[in-house]
Amino acid sequence: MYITSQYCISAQHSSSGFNFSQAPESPAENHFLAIEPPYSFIPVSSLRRMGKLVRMGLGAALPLLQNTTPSAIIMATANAGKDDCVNFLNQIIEYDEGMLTPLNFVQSTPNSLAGQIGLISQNRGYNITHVQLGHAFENALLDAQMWLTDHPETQVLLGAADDLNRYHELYEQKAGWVKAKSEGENNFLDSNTPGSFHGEAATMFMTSLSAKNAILKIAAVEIWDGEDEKDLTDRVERFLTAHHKGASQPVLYSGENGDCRILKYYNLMEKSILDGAKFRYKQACGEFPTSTSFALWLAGESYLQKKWPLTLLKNGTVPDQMENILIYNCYKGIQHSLILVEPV
Amino acid sequence: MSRRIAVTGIGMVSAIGNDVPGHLDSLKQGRTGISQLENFPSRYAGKIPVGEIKINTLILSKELGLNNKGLTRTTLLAMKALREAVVYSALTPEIIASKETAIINANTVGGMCLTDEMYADSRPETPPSPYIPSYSFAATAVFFQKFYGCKGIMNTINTACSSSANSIMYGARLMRAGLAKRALVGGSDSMAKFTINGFNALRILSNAPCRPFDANRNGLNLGEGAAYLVLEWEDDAQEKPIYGYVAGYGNTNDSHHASALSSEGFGPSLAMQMALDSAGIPPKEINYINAHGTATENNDLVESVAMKKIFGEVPPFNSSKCLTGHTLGAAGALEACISLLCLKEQQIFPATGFSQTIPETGLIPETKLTGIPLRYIMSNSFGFGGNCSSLIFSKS
Amino acid sequence: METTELKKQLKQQIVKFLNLTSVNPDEIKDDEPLFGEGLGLDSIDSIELIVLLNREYGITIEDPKEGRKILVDINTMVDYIEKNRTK
Repeated sequence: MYITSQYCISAQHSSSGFNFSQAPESPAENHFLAIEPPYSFIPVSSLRRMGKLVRMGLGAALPLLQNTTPSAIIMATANAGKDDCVNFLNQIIEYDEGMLTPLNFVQSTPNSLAGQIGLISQNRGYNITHVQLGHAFENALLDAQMWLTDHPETQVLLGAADDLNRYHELYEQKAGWVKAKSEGENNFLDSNTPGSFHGEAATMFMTSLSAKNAILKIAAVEIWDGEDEKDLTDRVERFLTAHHKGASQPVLYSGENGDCRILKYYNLMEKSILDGAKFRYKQACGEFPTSTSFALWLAGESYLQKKWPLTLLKNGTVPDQMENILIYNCYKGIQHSLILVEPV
Repeated sequence: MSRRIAVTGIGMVSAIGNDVPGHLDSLKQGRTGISQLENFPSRYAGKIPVGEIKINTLILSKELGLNNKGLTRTTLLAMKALREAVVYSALTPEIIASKETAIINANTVGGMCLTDEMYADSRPETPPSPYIPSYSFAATAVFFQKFYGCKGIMNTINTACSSSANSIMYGARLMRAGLAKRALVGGSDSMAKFTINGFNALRILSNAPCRPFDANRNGLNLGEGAAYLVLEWEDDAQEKPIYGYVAGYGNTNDSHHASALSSEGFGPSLAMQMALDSAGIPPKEINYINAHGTATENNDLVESVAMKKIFGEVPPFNSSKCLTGHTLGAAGALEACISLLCLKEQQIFPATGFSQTIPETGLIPETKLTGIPLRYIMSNSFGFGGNCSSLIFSKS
Repeated sequence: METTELKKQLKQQIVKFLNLTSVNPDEIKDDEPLFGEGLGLDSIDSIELIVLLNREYGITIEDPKEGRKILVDINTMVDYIEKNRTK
């Protein structure tokens, strides 16, 4: 499967591409808030109804839909709707289940984004939303691959969006997944304490089976759940043997996020690729369930601009040419993802 | 489709039964599970009819031997139905955990059924409850994975009321793509203050038992439930009872409005056509349609228009929601299981609430227990966000 | 409250309640249709306006269909509020 166009709204000025020459925007406080561009394609009359996630998601999707009608709209999200949900709960409590306004309820379903994209672009094709947390985007990716295999002359809009809404962040903090600002002052990725800095992004891709005008090729995807370290190293070895055709090690775009409880998996992954270059993408976007979509976008930007994101480099030998990129993420120490991409 | 995907196990729990035999008995009798809300305190207790499962959550957790704090009613119902399905299919824990087994779950409300706990946790000053991980839409699938130690693809789909129909479709497609050898697919949702108030705010709840496809219908009855199907290749199911085959599926978007269908029924009719195309059969091969039929003014009219558009002469049809209520994330799978029971019994089960046809379309749903040859059954589910899905099952 | 003042207040309330960020309340004409043409509101908005009438003016409208007969334009709404308000 190939990516032919992409768009990202994140804590970086990503709507104009990734800036390889400057250090990434730092987190404000202990989280990464999205920098939203002016939205020229969203009808003003529709904007009023939208929460941030739907607004960002539409803002990232509509530019890609100006000249293309995909046969499917496949989205991933984990956080969608929490803000609307709690706002509706507030109404239930405040008005004691009396007369309530329905908009929060309607917006609290995670498929609002995919539904709105379909509605505004008048697209009646296959439309689905995957919500399996750290594997939501990967399932969407697999879904897109399967759909394209059955509909090879078409294109698929594949995307992910998670917003750092107030209530979601509070729940994450209470559950021990958020790092205090003071702990991450130099670089939250190196702080070696529990938790991380959370972020938000909406990332959209137009995908196709044709390599024409493609930005990158998705060579392989694998996901699994578990805490077994040997299983991780065995799977990575098999994965690379089966799919990585380069002479040298792939470059690693690692989802390392500063949470000391999960670091062991990232350390094992780094050992698996020996002295290959290791970049930590969450330094630019923070932690959120569908963060591998940002990593994939960053890989596409790297190939487009033929540059490595040196400001995110952890260690390793940076290749002169564009090489295969292996994206690895381990969400909350349980959900592991491997995505291998190739330049075209 | 060449190689056939067989359904080798089903599990069901809803207001009309705690298991498959219980459902079959109620379905044949046309015995409704619609009653007054009792399980939790609400302004609406005793006021609105619902399809409530008359087992309280504590008893359910004891029955299942699952006393983990943080397990929601949504997950407990799911576990109950999943266990039944895997027993019928004789799947061992090792097979369930195998990397060749995909588990595809669905819900709409999921952990948000914990209305009061979620509200309490949303206050910065309150200490964290053990329920926080349960608020995620994926919580049930996460629990399944931990419980069985699953090594295969795990996923949760959320497309509002069509969610578990899409789980079935996704599981079947994973198998056809060679990404899974078998798939456990389905969904669950439990009664919640959140959903009762949400649907009430939209003014689409009826204050009486619902009347699908009736001229005087005035809204839906919420329900709760869970249903799972075990999908396996026909070749792997030689020794097993087969409830039917997944013959076709379709998914489209109506692209009209966040919470209402277009009057032309674009989404529903396209979904049905897509399912027919994928099954490789013309409309006249469908012997019965288990309709979405929520009894809202919008859905039943649009669904009728769409059925007429696709079928011309509409086959026998009705909606099971007059018996079970609208079980949201479980609806697609629950009604798929009902369709499979129809195939097995070669009967269309009765439906209640109908007395007068919708004047614009003149369609009359089946109301009585009817024995007719059934080879292909279509089951439809339409949801918020315009998500429309259609499944076709064929006789074994 | 004077009718003209009530009309002005209602327009501000509608813009705020429905989050019509691109609309200036003073520019809403009294006889401009609220639904379809004019302001272009939809079925969810009609329910929201019924809730607004309840919360701000103590008016209860049970049936949304009846509500649509009242929610035609600012004039019909204000007329109904003046006759039925309990707050």
